[in-house]
Amino acid sequence: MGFDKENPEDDRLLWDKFLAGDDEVYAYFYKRYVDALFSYGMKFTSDRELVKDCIQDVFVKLYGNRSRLGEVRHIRVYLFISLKNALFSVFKKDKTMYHIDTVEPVFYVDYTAEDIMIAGEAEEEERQLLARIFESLTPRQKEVIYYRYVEGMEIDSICRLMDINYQSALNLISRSIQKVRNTFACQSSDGCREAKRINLIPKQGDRYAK
Amino acid sequence: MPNKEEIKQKEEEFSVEELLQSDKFISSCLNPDAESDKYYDELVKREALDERDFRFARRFIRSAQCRPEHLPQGEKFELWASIEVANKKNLKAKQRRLYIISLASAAAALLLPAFWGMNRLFSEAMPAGLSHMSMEEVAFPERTTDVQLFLDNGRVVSLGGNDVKIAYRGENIYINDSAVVLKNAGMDAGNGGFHQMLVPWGKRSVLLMNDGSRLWANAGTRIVYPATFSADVREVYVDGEVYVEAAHDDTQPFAVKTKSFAVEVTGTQFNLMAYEQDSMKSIVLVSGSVKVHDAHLGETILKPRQMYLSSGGHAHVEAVNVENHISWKSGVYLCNGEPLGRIAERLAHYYGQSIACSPQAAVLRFSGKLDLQDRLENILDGITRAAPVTCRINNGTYIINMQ
Repeated sequence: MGFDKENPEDDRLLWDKFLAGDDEVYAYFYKRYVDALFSYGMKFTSDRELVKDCIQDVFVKLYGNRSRLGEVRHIRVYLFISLKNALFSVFKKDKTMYHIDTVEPVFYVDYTAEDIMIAGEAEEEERQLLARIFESLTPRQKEVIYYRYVEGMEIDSICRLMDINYQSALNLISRSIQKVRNTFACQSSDGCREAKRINLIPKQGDRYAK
Repeated sequence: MPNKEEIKQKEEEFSVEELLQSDKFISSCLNPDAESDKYYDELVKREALDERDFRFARRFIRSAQCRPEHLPQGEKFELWASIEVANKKNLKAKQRRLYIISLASAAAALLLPAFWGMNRLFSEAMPAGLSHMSMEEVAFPERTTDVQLFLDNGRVVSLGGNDVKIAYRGENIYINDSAVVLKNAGMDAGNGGFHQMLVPWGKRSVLLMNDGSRLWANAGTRIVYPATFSADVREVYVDGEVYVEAAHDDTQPFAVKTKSFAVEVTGTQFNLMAYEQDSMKSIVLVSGSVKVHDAHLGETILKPRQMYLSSGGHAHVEAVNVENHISWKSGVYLCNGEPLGRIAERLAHYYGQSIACSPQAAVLRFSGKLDLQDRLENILDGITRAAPVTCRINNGTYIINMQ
């Protein structure tokens, strides 16, 4: 999993150093985030060169606008937002080139990862079933799942990345979880029992359920 | 066993969804540590958490993981290089002057056109601070067998063929007389940086600049130049051999920089040979006048038909037959009583092969015209017919011996 924990305090210090003109910190940003940014960008397009161009754009602008930038809480999130904006401005400019039948770029995720360690055949079967269910989510659901469970982002960050409010983000995540759970319950081997369990247990403590 | 309702009243009680909406739980899955493992184990033990719910929530997060897209080290390096170059260019634009930072000695590793050299620098330099890299250090990409054009927006264009013509005209870049037209991004995007042309061994290329200047690049040459020349000087950086026809402009001198010296002209024709891995470097002036600034040897002014030859910290000027030094640009190599060792060296460069001469054979003098469009085997064969030498190939190296 390409996630490493960030300390908000560290981010604040690094950002201040960067604003003060520290080029090493700038290089560190690239080193630390380029893989995550590339992976993220590739969810919107299969055009590697375009993603690379946009990453370059993000870093060049970051450097050039250094004196005009304000406070940033999560550097990762700031860079993700910048990359998404850069990509979307290209998509907007050239719809025909990148999207023939969709107006919005589709968030595409390949869930057929092999590098997840799960022991046992039964578990493997379940994992494959879950992967198929994830595939069936809508692009927006996939996107929110990616932010929350791959990047481990907080709801606030997701709100900014998807330009939605707090409650909408929670609802979007909640609906995605429900969809995965329900489909899984219906399709897995002990599905019936599972389904009953889900439906029978009252959702009193379930603050976020719709 | 206490009934379910009772447990539900407890403070620490989680459903699948609550687990999946909890920052703490997500973090414990993405960055497992002993402490959080213990915490959730306890919850399960106390039945505050249904074990199946817990397992499902974990599997959910694991299944959400997808294969990360990897950017290979080489591409990562190149991308950083173009970012640095663009930043420098932007800074320079702000400062209203353009200069090319001299090559740091640490860059020596990069002079090997080998890929591992790049990887090594990447891995070593990254943690300490990439920002120390100057343009020449970072901008040496992997050589391929094609002429490559690296644009300031990070795009790389590979161009097949032995003689590639690249022309900058207005906002466009024409390849081989407009077969391919590229947009010169530096002109309209305003984030212009440096472009770079890399000619592999065995190939040649012609570069037509926007100001009307023409540069012929011999095999194994790298030219770095700005997407658009600054107002006060037209500056290019060369590692290799170029023949320059600089368009005349008194107000905006044309400068060719190399690792060891710089040549400044207002409009003239000259040949410059300065492969960074070779100790011998030369400038041959065809017409006009040039000023050579050598970091160690000071300033020299050349007259037409003179050659400035520097080697091992010494330089001298001698009269030469100009044609011998510039014939390569038309695909011909004229030798006029040159030692075979020197000819072999140039052929090795030109064809990207390694050629070894025995000491006796190396001093044989040779005159003639070699067709550089021909295969190396044929040329060497021709030499064995003209001189009392033999040529054989051993482990990919051509070896020339006395008969």
